[in-house]
Amino acid sequence: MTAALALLASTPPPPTTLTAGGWITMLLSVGFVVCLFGWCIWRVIKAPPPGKAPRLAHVEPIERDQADER
Amino acid sequence: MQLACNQLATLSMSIVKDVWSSRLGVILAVAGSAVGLGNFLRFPGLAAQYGGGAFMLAYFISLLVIGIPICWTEWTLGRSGGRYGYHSTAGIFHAIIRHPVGKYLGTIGFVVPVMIYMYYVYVEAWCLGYALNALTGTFGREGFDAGEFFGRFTGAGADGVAIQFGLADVGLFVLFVYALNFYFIYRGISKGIEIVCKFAMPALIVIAMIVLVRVLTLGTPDPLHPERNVLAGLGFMWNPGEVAAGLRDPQLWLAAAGQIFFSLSVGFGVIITYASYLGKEDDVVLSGLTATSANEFCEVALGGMITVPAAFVFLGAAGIVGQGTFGLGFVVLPQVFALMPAGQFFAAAFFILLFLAAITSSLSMLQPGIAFLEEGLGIQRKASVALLGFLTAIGTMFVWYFSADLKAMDTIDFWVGTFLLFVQATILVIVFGWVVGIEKGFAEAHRGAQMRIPRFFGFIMKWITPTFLLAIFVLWTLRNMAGWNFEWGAAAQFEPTGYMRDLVGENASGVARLAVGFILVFTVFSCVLVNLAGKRWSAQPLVEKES
Repeated sequence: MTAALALLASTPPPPTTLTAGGWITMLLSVGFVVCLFGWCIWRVIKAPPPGKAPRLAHVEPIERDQADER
Repeated sequence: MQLACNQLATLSMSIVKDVWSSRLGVILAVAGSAVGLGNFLRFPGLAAQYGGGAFMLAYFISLLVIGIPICWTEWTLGRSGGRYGYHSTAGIFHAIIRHPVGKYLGTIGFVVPVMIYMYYVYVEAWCLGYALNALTGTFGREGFDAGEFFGRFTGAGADGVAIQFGLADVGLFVLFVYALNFYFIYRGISKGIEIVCKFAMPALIVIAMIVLVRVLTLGTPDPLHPERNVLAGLGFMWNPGEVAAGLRDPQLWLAAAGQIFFSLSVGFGVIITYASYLGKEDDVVLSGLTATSANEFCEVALGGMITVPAAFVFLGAAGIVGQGTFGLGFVVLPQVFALMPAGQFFAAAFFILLFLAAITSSLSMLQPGIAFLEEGLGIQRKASVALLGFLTAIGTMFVWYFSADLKAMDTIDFWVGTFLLFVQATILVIVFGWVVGIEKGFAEAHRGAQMRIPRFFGFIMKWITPTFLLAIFVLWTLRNMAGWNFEWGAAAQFEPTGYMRDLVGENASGVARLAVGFILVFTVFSCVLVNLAGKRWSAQPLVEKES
């Protein structure tokens, strides 16, 4: 209890509001982790399952006799 | 000899291969392992104590320099060892280092999670017990004394008082939580751990969101104290102090780096084991970053917005300052919820949240032990669960009985949960950066990867991470053992801390000495097991398994 009182006495008075610096610190910190988490989840969700990555599936099959025309 | 080898091979093949059933499953499991009580109780206390701005700057630098690199290191080494059929740190080091000493370097990867589980499961039982007591309205009763309840429930008041089995006692909850953990671990990776984490992690985030909305809409609940409002509570947590002065304070760096280190569960031997159950072409880079970011989201965006602001709004700064992690969670918050409208419901929700965070972590601490016993001794799941259950029960009983001032728990947490953790993380980083090598390590990490590790991380992982880690370790040792006051020259003072005075000197604590003796005996026993395992592994050729 004495230690807690001593610590309380040594700390600055408690704030009465969230200062501009506090807003900036909070928004930057929370914003950074939310964006990072959101970006990672988005990448994980849109990634194809392992072993099923599209290789040349988007390329139209080419008939052997039409190869030169293309 | 040939016959023995054949028998060993048959035995190995008879052990069912455990794998993750989905990618989301492994990510949630690793995130669940990392998200624990520290996210909701320790981080907010530290951020408030050191003043938002400087602390958060040091915190994010530590995330970049030690958190993410060690995380990628563990994921990569784990998957690499898993290709050879090994899932424990000792086995993985045996496969990767290919030197007789290698497996012994992995001993700590068995000792740390198993010994941390011994006391962590006890704290997990507190969370469930507090949740049930909140639901039954215990905290709102006339004359409820949170400090007295904590002392009796946890046994912090005196040795042996916690071995009681009523609803307002911890006993039943310890037994239930213990059985629950071993039931799920017995079911294996996909049917046990993965199922729990797939349910628990989303539930945890939803509950945290609900409690967060409640806290942010509290306004000014006590008209007699208009200064105690939500914005002031957030200010107490986030208002930056003297940023430049703060960044010159070594203790702030120690606190920030330590929080990143412990919060992400790096060095536990958990991530390396979990990653070993991946296929050889499964991504580790994006998965590792996603699990890390999930932990950061829970810690900063949820933990940082709930605990301290809620406590400040009802009790003011005086109610928070000087409280440790347990004090904040189990003494301050019950008082806060008792004063809050619909507090009974929100208290139950909050302690269920802590319980979910704890069980996903405790399960992860058992898996490295199970993996080591099965592949090291060649025993089946039933036998490994029984043996690990017996070993951990000894430790949990020890912590449960010697509960006065939580001395036994605190001592084991200091020497195993902090000291050995540093040692293990340093070994991991050195193995990746110097034994495997950055080029080879990156090539291994990028196998099947869905994003590339930025090039500059090569330099960070080879030079900065080990140096930073060692510097923090040295500072931590000087501060927490030798009691250095962080002054130079004539002003420098060294006074051995309580952890050292508990072991030597006139006022040594019998319980602390017993706890350290127990740690030593368990470590030696683990070395013997590793030696036996090494003989078994040496008899088998090191071959890459089919994915």
